[in-house]
Amino acid sequence: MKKLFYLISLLLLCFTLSAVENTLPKATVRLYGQIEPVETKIIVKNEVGEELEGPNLALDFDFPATSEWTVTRKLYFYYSSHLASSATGKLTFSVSNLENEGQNTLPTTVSLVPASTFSTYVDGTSFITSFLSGYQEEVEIGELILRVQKNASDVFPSGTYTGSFSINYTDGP
Amino acid sequence: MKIKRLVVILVVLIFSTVGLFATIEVPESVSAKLYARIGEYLEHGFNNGTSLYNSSIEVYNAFGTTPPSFKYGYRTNANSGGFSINMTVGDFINQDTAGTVKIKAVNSSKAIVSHGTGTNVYEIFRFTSTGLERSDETTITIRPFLTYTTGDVDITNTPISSDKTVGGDGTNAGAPEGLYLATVTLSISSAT
Repeated sequence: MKKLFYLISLLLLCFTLSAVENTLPKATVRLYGQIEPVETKIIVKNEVGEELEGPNLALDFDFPATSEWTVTRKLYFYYSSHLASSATGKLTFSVSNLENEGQNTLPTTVSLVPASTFSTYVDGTSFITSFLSGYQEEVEIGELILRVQKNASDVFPSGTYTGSFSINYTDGP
Repeated sequence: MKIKRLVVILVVLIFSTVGLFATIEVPESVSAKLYARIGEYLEHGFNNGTSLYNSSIEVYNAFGTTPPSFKYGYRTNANSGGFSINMTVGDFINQDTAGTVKIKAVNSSKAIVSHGTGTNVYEIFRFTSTGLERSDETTITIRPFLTYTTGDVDITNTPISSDKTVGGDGTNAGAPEGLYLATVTLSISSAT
């Protein structure tokens, strides 16, 4: 009987040892990395591709010495971003008429042409743009055309005319 | 006749008494056998700088200029058989939105035993019992794709796209922003 008991005990011990590696828990390491968001940046360029920033955002008009003329200047808008998901933003433009010290006024008009009708549409004097997710580099939004026009019947004294131009960005449509 | 019977009786008596007075044989030495058993053990896990063989650790800043690394080891006194330690390396998965950063390379301070072709599984250690206590440790480095170059393939030898990297290539988009998590698992199996 004792021999049988020892034999059974030995067999059980052998089975226990062989089961150790099958029940040994796995070791796990978790690696964490962060891709930081990049603020959506609106880029403005002139007709020769120069980026305009802050105080450099100025437009000069040279009016011809004829009785009637139409002068246009164009600005091109792009965005760069790195968003987790797509978003919508609104670029609103405000342009004043050109005036001289004598308060003569050269009327100024603004028109917008979207780069892609799939991602941008025009609402009055605003671009409504969908910003794609992921890393985006200088994606075209559209172009703004400033137009100053003089008819033959208009009389404008010579001199310097100045005006203001502002761009306002808001999130959402 | 009576004399013969008497002689036989005497002979029988003599042989009987000789047996009664025989010498007792005593063994020259006495010994006792003692049995004891030392249990087998096998430990494995990560060295966190304070203790060995921790079952789990966390490593941060995996997308920094220094790729993430960790120390892993084992200790055993197994007297028979053998085992392999295999490491399975998962991709970095965005925890906030859909997004993946693939693994560019896996390095070890000790020579990797094998890397299954087309898989993300690496055999890190292979142990054959020697009857003595054995321990070993290696430093594993995991390299995620920080940038993208045309033709890049990941550790499974599968071509990737720029959006499976942290920063893309400057023209093509990288993975979306957010917190990414990659899980690396080490397990033990019998050596074949």
